[in-house]
Amino acid sequence: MELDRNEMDQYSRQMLVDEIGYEGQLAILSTLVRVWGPEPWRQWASRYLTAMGFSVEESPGEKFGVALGDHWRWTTQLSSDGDGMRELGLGLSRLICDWLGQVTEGGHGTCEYDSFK
Amino acid sequence: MPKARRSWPRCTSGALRSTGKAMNVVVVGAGAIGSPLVCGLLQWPEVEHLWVVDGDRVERSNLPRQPWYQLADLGQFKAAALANALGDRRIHPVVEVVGEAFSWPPADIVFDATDNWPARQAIQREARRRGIPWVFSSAVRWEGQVAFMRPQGPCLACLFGEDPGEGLRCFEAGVVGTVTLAVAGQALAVAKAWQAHGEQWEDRLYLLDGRTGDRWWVRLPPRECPHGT
Repeated sequence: MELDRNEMDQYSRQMLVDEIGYEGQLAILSTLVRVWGPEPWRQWASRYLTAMGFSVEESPGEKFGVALGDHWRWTTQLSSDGDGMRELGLGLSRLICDWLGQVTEGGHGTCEYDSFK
Repeated sequence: MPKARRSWPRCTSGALRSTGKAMNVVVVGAGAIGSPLVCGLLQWPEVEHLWVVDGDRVERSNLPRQPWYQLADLGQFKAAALANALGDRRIHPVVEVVGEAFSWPPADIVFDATDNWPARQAIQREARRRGIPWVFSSAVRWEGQVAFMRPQGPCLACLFGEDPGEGLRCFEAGVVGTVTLAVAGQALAVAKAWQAHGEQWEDRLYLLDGRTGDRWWVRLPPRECPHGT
């Protein structure tokens, strides 16, 4: 798989980040993420992950959760205000960063987070 | 050619801390931090008018971290495209760059969602001239920073030195969209906290690290700014 010119342009700023790069972007584009939980954060997470290049499947649920591939999972409770937005952004970032560290090294690892606490 | 000055709606100055009363907000920047910030601010019933100021147009490279824009928005002004996407009559798009000639709307608070120092310094000058607070925010790679800037409190020079330089910008170093989302959430949270605590609120610079999911803060000294800004 290779990125075409439009994809290179689209993901260029993201690929500038050391932990992502070209290989990481290819991994993102070929990975399914499942997102479940209440709104609005389910839709927000889906929107941001899709924009990064992931394929996303959504389902309703009481507790918010994200599963990246088969082995990486984060579940948490998010408040509906700015704190919730911050925790969503930080939690997704950490999950993606840790996952990228594994997949770009050729492994797949296994990790399950519960609110990172 | 001189710009015509707009007739802005009446200011509700000082209303920020009076929860339940109308509030006017300016968000400078409709990009990766500004777009989720505007979405969050629209959830505040106190927000009566929300000016979104940005002279940039939507580019393809914006899409991974500015997911309120679509391919169909490419080439459109961000401020207008965001107002169109969110469809809320409280949003007033302003397609301009803030600078000396900019005609500032009558805000109770200004949110910095830019990626450059000249714009931040223009925001700071105007906020201090009017005696209103502003919220500094920035993001690059996996890191973000947010600070609530009181009119009489520490200034940019107090936080970063008198000549901090431009620093790395996201088009040079890259940035992760979910980090900008976290920064927008922190900016909302500090404004809400100040609303709740008023002058009892400590001046802090918040630091976010997307690699570890950590957030911490540096407490700023409780003194007047010595830089005369």
